[in-house]
Amino acid sequence: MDFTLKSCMKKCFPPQNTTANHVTINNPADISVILGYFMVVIAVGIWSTFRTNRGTVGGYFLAGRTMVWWPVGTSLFASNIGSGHFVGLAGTAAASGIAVGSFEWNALFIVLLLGWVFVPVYLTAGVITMPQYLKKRFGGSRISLYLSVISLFLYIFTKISVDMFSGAVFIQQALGWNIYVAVIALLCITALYTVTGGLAALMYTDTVQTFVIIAGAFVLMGFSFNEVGGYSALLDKYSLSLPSQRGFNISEQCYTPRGDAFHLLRDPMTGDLPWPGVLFGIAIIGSWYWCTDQVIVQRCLAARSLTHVKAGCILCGYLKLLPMFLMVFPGMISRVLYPDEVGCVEPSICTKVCGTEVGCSNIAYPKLVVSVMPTGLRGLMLAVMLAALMSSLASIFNSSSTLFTMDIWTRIRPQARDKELMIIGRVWILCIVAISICWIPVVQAAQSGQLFDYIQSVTSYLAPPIAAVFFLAIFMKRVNEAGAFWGLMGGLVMGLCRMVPEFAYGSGTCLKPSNCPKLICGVHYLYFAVLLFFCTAILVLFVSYNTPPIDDKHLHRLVFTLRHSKEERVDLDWEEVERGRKARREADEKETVVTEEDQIERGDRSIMMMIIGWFCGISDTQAPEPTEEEVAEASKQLPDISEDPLWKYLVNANALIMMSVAVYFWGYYA
Amino acid sequence: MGKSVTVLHWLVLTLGLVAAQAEKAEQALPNWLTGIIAVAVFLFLVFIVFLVNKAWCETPSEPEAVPTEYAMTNGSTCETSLDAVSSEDPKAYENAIVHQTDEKVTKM
Repeated sequence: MDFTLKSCMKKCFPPQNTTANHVTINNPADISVILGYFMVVIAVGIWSTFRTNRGTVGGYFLAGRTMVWWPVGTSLFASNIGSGHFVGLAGTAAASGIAVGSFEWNALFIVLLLGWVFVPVYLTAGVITMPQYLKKRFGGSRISLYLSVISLFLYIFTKISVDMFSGAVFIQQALGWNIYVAVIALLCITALYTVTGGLAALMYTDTVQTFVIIAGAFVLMGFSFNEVGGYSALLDKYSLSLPSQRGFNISEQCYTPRGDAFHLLRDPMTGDLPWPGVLFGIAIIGSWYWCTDQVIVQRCLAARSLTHVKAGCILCGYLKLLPMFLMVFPGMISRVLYPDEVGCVEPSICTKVCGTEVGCSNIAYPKLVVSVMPTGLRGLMLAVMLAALMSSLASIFNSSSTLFTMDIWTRIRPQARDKELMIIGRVWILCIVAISICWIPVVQAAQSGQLFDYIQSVTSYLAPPIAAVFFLAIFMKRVNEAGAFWGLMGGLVMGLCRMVPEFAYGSGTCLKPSNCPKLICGVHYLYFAVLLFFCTAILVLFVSYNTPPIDDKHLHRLVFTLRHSKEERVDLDWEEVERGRKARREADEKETVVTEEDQIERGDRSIMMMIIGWFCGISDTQAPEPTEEEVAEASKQLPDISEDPLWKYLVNANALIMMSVAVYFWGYYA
Repeated sequence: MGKSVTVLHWLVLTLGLVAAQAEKAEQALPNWLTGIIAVAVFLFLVFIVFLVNKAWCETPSEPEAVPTEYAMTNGSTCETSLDAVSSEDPKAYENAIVHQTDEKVTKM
């Protein structure tokens, strides 16, 4: 598809005539449900602001490290499941069957990898952000800077814009509002409770959101199965759901449902999601997402102890069994019930139905909600979508502001104190909101009808090098800074070599295949992810073995084999940390001099400033920067990742049970 | 039984599921049976890994295949790979972060 600006403008701002006859949610039952939902979320948010101290970095970004297992688990789930999942999973399932659910079921195992392998190392390392971990592990600042920048980039272009677009599609179908109005309204509400509450608020409201999401989605699933006539009816009818208007020269395979629609593992050459790619490629992308990405890891770091982390991961794993049944099957049901709209293939019809000519599978889930659910419950489903959207967006906002504040801002101004960091964090959130709004038209144009494909392919071109470097950083002590940096750069170049041509030529559709050369675009993106992962790993190892190693004394509690070591660590970034501390101490002294002088002149502060200060949880009093003796004392208290043996065995047994359940379901649908 | 099991499960999954897929075309095996076979294979392999780990731990003299760069801090290699409980501190864990915070105090 042609990606010039003119065609983009034509596609992105079409005349708003597609929503003329939609049912608007304008009856008291629906409205009261939505209002009730907002009340509960705001109440929980306010309650949690009184529970924790939001005015400090530890309190705001890490919830004071007091979370027990169930908010950790539900927050992991709710941060992950966004409106992009509802729209994207259901849409891709409508188009190509259940294989897209393997993205979810793969995560069952990856989340255990997170809890058992990665988080213990992050906890003993004592870091808040992932770039900070890399800085301690390797030294130098270029790796952490690169990671911060690329993470922020990936957040904006794969998570935020996709979630916003999906939420907007849903609201547009359900309420008939203009997409941009809907998006801006949603963002304002999300930004509001992100900005005020910090991670504690997010994690507690995530629990509420999880209940709402699961309850509402179950209800919809029940109604949909009822409508289609049961599970076996779905199995029979899906392969027969063809659109009635097929155009005169469209090849049959463009509108016929796939033969292997009910299999997770598909042919390695001709399948749209080949099974080696599904098992290994998704594992690599999943490792990046769950084990090295700030959004998810931050929730685990906020837990009270390692056992709580592990239990939370198991809970999240069980919850991740559900999307297959809650979103994938309803997506397929939607195609069975509305083949002419969801399964449309004729470009003019598709444009009439949903505004894009490449395909309307993305409206699968919203169409079900609008058509199948009775009044009152439609409001519930809108609340569910809002829950999914707001929980994911809020998590991403919080984590990206953590990244920006702790990694980029402290590099620019090392003397910044807590109050300034808090304000900067909140201002940054407003900035990314603006950028994301501007990116929506591109998502709409480039999605080519397969939203989930867009996310996964962009991720698989950029994320595998990061996953490779993290794996090697944790397991191999020999890997050093030069190796990691050049590995990341090489991986980035390789990923861009694939990504840029593919976006330039356009991904094409069944009707008009793209003319991207086979050498570049012929390799499936999941295979490319595996290839990229191994190439980066080889490059990292090659450069590391040709450059001097890092001494053990710098690596205590930063690698897996040394995670229990109690010896003193000479931090590779101690110079920078010391510089920061000195700058903060000087700023402290200057401030005390100044306040002593004008303390007499200052009257009481304006009321407005005080209200704003309370709202944002910023207090006037600032804890003084610890003196050198206090720092030395603090560093003698090592972070503890010991576990009570009884709980450890219980948690391990539970993990084994969960893995068995996962393997059973994989086997069932293979 | 953390790392080695989770690393090995991929092998298990692949073997089990490719074997299952080989029979999918004609539906010779009902779905639930494929599932159960996969679980059985998985548990069997977990059991084997467990035995291997135990056997490895029994011999305290140097395990042959371990590369020397995996330093042994608390004794044998298998301890580190088995998520050994570090005995000293059963109390709630603390974390030394740069800005020491007092979590319970809400400054309003």
